[in-house]
Amino acid sequence: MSDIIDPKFKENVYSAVCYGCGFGCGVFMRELEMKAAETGAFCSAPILNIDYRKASPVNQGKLCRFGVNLAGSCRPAVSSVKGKAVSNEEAVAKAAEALKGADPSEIAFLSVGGTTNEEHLALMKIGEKLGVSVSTGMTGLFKDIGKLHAYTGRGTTYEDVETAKKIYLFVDPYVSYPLLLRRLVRAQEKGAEIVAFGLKDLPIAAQNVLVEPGTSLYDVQAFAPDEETVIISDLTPYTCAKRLAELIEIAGGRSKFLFMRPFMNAAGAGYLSKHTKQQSFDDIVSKMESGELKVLICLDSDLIDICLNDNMKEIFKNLENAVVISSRDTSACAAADIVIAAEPVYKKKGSVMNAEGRLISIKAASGDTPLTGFNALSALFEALGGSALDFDAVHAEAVQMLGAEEDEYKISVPAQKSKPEIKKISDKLPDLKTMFGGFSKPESFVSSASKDGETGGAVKHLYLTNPFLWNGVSDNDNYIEISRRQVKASALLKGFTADVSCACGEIVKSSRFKVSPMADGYALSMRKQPFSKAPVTDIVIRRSPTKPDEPEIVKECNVPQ
Amino acid sequence: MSEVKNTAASSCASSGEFIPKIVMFCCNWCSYAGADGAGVSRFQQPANVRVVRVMCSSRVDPVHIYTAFLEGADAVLITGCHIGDCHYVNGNDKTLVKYKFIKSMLKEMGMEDERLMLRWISASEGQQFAEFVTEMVEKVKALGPSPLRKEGVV
Amino acid sequence: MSAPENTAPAGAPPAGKPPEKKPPAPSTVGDILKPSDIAVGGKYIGWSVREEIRKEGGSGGLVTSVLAGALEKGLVKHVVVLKKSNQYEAVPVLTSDVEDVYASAGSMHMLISNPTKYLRQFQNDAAIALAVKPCDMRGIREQQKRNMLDLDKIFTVGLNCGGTMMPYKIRKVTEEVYGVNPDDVRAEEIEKGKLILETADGEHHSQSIDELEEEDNGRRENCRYCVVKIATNSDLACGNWGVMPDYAGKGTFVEVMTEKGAEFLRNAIEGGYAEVKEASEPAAEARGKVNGIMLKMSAKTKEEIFVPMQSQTILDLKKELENCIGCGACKTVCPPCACGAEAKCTSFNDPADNYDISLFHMIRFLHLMDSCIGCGQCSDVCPAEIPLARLYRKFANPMQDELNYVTGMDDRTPPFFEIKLEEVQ
Repeated sequence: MSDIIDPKFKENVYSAVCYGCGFGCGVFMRELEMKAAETGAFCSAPILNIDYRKASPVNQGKLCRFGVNLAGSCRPAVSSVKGKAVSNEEAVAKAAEALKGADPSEIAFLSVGGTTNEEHLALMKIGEKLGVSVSTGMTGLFKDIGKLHAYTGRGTTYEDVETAKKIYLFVDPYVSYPLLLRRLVRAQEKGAEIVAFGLKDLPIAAQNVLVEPGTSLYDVQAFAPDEETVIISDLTPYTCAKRLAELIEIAGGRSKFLFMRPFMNAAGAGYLSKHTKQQSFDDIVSKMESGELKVLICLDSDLIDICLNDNMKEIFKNLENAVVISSRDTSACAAADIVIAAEPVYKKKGSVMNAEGRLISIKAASGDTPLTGFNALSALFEALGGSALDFDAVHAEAVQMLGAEEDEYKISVPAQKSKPEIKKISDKLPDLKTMFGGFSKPESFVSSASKDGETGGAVKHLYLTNPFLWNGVSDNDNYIEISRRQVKASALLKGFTADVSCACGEIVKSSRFKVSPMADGYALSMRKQPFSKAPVTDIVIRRSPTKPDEPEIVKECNVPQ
Repeated sequence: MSEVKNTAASSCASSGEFIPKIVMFCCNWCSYAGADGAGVSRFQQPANVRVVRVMCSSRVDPVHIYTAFLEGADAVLITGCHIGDCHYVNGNDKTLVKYKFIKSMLKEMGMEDERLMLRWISASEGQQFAEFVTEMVEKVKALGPSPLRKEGVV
Repeated sequence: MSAPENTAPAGAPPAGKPPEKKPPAPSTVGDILKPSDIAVGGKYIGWSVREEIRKEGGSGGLVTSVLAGALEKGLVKHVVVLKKSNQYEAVPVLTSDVEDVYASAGSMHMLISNPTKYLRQFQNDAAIALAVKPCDMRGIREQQKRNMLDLDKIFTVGLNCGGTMMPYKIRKVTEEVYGVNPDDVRAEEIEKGKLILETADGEHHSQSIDELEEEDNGRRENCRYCVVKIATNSDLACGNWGVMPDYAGKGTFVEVMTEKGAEFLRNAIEGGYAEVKEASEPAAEARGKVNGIMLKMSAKTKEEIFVPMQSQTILDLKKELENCIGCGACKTVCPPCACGAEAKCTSFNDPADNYDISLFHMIRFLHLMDSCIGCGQCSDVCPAEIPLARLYRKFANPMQDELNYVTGMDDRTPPFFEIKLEEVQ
C-alpha cells in the first residue's frame, strides 16, 4: 500500500458562506490539490467540493439546489486588460489610470454585496478619495423615502419565524430563499398560521391570497397584520417601492419584518453604505445608456447577470472603461475592459452579514487565505494617493460601523432611535408598472392575441427570482409556469411546446411549460427570458406548430372544463 | 389536430362508468406474438390496453412503470416468455427480481399491488393473453381509478 | 426506553464501564503481546505507548496510535482526520502530517461526517487510513460493491457507535437545557445513559439522554433504530465496550477483523506506538452484552416508529414530499448511491413535470430498498425537513428483512443486481 507519488494530495478546507443569496448559509468548501506525476508540483486548479456545515446557526448544514452545486459555479476569474491576461498589479495600475482620467461625475462604483464587508469598506474608501459614492443597487427603493430604512433593518431572526404565531409571506420560499422553508415548516408544526400573498399557491401556506403586482395592499382584506405577525418580504433591485411603503404603512410599528436579500452580503453592504448618498441602480444603467458614464467599477457585482435587460452587454460597450473586480468568472468579466481577479469568495478572509443581521466570518479550517481581492483594492487605493490599507484595521472599522458582535451565534442590534411614523406616502410612489416601464402593452398587441378566437394566450410575465437568476448560473429550469386554465386558453397540449412572443417583437419558439397552481393570466419563469426585459412584461403564449414532417400525435391534455 | 381533451371525460363514458387505462409491456418474442394470435383468432378482449413492445420483459425498467403510473395508468402489465424460454437466456429471471422490488414498493406506498402484474405468455398462447387482459380489466374496474392518477397531468 | 449503557461512537471516549455490578473481572489475560501474536479474529485490549496520547485521547489512545503508526511507517500516505474548530464543529481533512493525527484525538458524538462520498474524490488513487463509524463503513462497502471504492486502498478503524447528535441542536441544548455557555464546553462524553459536558472550569454537567430524546434533542432519529453498533465490517473494530474497570479510560477493546487490520496493528506494536494484551473472556462477554442492550433498544424504537407507518396511504406520502425543493442533496450525500451527477433518478426527473410524487423520489425509494444503510445523512441535509431516512427505511425494511440482507456488512451482491433471488435465499 504505497503511492506512486508521495504524498499525492493536499487538502484545504474553508468555512464559507454560500453566495447564492443573502440568507447566509454556512458551507465548507474543500480544495483538493493533486500532485502531477511528471513535475511533482501541486496542480494549480484544485478540485472543488462542498461539505455540509452542520454546526451553522443559519442552516444547520442544509443547502438548497444552488448551494449543493456551489462548487460548479466557482470558476475563478483571470485578471485581464482588453481581453489580454495580465498580472493583478498591471490590471490595478490600468484601473487607477482609468479612474484618474475621469471626472467624478463620470465614475460609478457598484457593490451590491457580493463580497465581504472589508472589501466593500475598502471600495468605499477608494470612492471617498475620488468623491464618488459606492452604490449598493438597492437605493432606488429609498431614493425619496429614506425613512423606510428604519423598518428594513435588523431585529427579526429566523428563530423568530419559527416561533411566530402568524406569518405573512411575500416571497416564494421554495424558489427564492429555499432555506427559509424549513423555518416555516417548523413554525407550521408549532401551529403558526401561514398566509402567502402572491400569484402562486404555496403548499406550506394555510391560506393563499392572490395579490397581483398592481394591487394595493389597502385593498387586500386578508392582509391584517397584528403584533404577533412576522411579515417576510425581500429587498431586491426590483422590489416595488410602492408595495414596500404600503407594507410599512399598514404594519409598521406593530408587526415584525424580515427582509430577505438576494446577495450574500447585501445586508452588510447596505448598512455600511447607509449614510452615503448613492446613485440608484436605474440611474447607473440610464447613465450608461446615454454615454454619460465613462468608468464603472463593479466589485463582485455582475451588472449583466443582475439586470433583467439582456441588452446589458451592449450597453457595457458605451463605457470607456468597465472595471470588474471579481472572484468568479461571470458574464461581466467577458464584457469588461479591465478585470481584476480576486480569490474565490469561499477563500476570502472577512465577514459578511446575512438578512437577519448576523455577522458571519469566512475563515480557513485548514489552508491559507491569500487576501488577493483586498490587497488589490488596497493597491488601487495607494495608486490613487492613499496609504496602504491594513486588513485588521478595516475589519475592526467595519464591525464597529455595523454595530455587530463578532459571533455568528449571536445577533446584536444596535440601539435604534424610535422609528419615524410613515403615513400616506405610498400613493405618491410609482407602482411596478411605472417603476420599470413594464406593462408595455400596445393595445394592438394584446388584442391580436385574443383575436385568435377563444384561445387568448395573452398573459403577464413575471420573474421568480432565485439564486441561479441573480448569479447568472444555468440550471434545468428552462420552462415557464402557467396555470391549468391558461394551458387551455393558450391551447397547449401535453408533450408539445409553446411559442412565446412579446410586444418588442422577440419570439421564443418551443418553450417548455409547466402547470402550476397559480393565478390565471400570468406566466412565471426562473431564468432570464429574452422576451422579458423588465420585472413585468406582456407576452402571448401560443401552441408551437408541429413540424410538417412529424406525424400529428395528439396526446391528451387533461384540463377540466 | 383535435381540441384539448378532458381526462375525466375520456376516462369516464357519458354514463359515468369508470373505464380503466392499462399499459402493457409485451416481449417481442412471445407475448407480442401472443397478442397478435389473440387478434387473429378473434378472442374477445376489452380495448383498455395500450401495448408497448419491448425486446425482452427485462427491458422494462422501473422508470417505465413509474412513468406509466404517474401519467395516469390504472394498471401496468408485463408479459414475457416462460422461465427457461427467454430469447436472451435469463432476461425473464431478471424481470422477476425487478418485479419483486417494484411490487413491494407499490404496496409500501399504499397502492394496491394488483395494479402491477407479471404473466408469462408464449407466442402460441393467444387465448391466455385475451383472458389475462379481460381478467385485469375486471380487476381494475373493481379497484377503481389509480390513486396516482392526477387530474390533468401536463 | 432504557438508558443506553454506554453510547460511544469515538474510539476514545474516556471511562468506559461494564454493565455489571459484581466484583469486576480483569480486562486482560497474560502479558503484553508481540507483533507475531496478533491474528485475525483476535480480541485485545490496547493503549498508546505515548503518555500524552493516552491522556488526550482517553480510552488509551489506541486508535490514534494505530493511525499515526500507519502514516509514519508508510503503510498509508494520507490519514483523514477530523479537524475541530470547537467542541461542536469539526470537518474531515486529509493530512499527511502525523501531528494532525495526534491532534484529532478525542470524543465526537456531535460531529457527523460522511466519509463515504468524501473518499470518492480520491478516485482510489492513494492509500488512505481513517476512523469510521459502523454506518460509514457500510457505505464504503456498498461503494466497493458498485466498483467505486477500492478497499485495498482504504484502511479503516471502526469505532463503536451508540448514536450521534446534530451539532447545532446540541449546542442549543447546552444553552437551554444545561444552562451552560456552549463556548465554555471543553469535552463531552456519554456514560450510563447520560450526556456529560465538561466545562473549562472542570465542572461536569449531565442530562439523561432518554429525557433529551423525549424532546427530540438527543441522538438523531436513525441512530435510535440503527442495527449495527460495533463496526465488525471494518479492519479493526475498536471501542471501550468490554473494557473492565481496571483499564477504564486507559485501554481500548479491539477486535481484528481482517488480515489488513492485523497488519496495521502489528505495525503499531512493532513501531512502538501501541501495546496490546489479550482480552479476557469476561471482557469480551461484557462487550457483547452492551451491544445486545443497544440492539434491543434499537429494535424497540424501530417498532415504535415503523409499525404505525404501515397504514400510510399514498396521500400521506405525497404530503411528506410536497415541500421538496429538488435540491438533490439527499442523493449527493447518500453513501450507497454510486451514481454520479448523471443518474437515473436525476436524468429522468424533469422539474417541469407535474406529478404527485416526483420520479426522482420514486426511483430513489426503489434503489434504496436493497441498499439503504440507515445512516440518516439524507435527513440531515434536507432543507425542507422531510424525514427522508424514515421514508427510505419504510421501503427498505420489509425487503431487507425478507431477503435477510444487512447492507454493507460483507461482500454479498445487492439483491437488485442478482439474476435469480431464489438461489440466494
